[in-house]
Amino acid sequence: MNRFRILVPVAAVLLSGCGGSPTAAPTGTLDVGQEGTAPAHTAWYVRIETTDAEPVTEHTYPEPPIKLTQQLDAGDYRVVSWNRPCADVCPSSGEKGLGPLSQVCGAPVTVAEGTRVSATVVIGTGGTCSVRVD
Amino acid sequence: MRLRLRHSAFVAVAAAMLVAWAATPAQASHSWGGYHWARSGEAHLTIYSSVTSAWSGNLSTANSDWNQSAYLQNSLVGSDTSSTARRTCSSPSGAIRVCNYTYGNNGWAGLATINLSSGKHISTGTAKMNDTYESGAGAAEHQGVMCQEVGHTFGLAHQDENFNNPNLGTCMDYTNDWSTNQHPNTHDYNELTTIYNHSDSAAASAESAGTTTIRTGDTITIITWAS
Repeated sequence: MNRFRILVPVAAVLLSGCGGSPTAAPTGTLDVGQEGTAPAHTAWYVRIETTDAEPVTEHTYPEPPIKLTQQLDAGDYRVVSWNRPCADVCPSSGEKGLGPLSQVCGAPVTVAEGTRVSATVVIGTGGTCSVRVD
Repeated sequence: MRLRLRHSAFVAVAAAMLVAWAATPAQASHSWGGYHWARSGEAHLTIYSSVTSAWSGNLSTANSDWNQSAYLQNSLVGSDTSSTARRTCSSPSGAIRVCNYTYGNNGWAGLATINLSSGKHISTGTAKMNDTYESGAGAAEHQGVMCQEVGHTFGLAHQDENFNNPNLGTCMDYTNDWSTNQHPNTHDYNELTTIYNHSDSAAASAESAGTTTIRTGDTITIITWAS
């Protein structure tokens, strides 16, 4: 019992010492949208990841358009998008009817405190893509 | 009092261990998820060259570099270099294909893909060089990117993904200056030893972190972003 009384506060101090201030981290907003028309029978995916490739969030769009709004701690991220052909109806989860990775694109994005940043997945002919950050 | 001192010592040791753990360099292990070619002894893979003359010398050098590993003895074979073949860059069963093409303004300089046959065993691999970004690049970057993409197909991830960090002296390192990052380094060869010096019933290396990876069914793609 004594051991727990001492260790728990110690652990809390250690963790808060590593994590910095207990106040909430400053946040900004990242909007991800789409430009261009996705080819029929393609499922689209969007992942927001840190620059260390740690995924923050990932969304599937079996029926585009891509539309996503994410609150993020201020910092540097990468928006990654890719698509896969579908046999018929694109599934919202699972592998059924999905073909191999077709196209992949991405771009770095910086989210500053209190700001709103837009990233647009620009879809070209045949499902080619690029990510534009405004 | 004695109990308090003992706890203080524990806290100090725990804090030191925590700091040491946090400071461990990212390149401690850079296996790509433990994926590897099934083989006994050294791997004898065929690498099909679907690259134009702008890249063929780089591929030859990269193959020679990687063959310095005690676990790789791969052969380069000339293959279809038509624009269709290079664009599609089809996966040859039990082998690797390397291609270059203007894949578009998609953000990546190189893309390596492996297919898995069972568990963590690679059954085929492709490596694509994106001329949209690379056609105007210097000789050092060409060599570094080629070396890196081919290295991925053996199961290696990046050692570091920060373009601004000091060079690690390996092609498996992101950089803005490829002059000293064109070839594998000792750490890469050691990692290949870790990955391949095992019987295939044993566990391979740990998962890699810090590398953009997309899994689609049994296919895994690793992305090398353009700087």
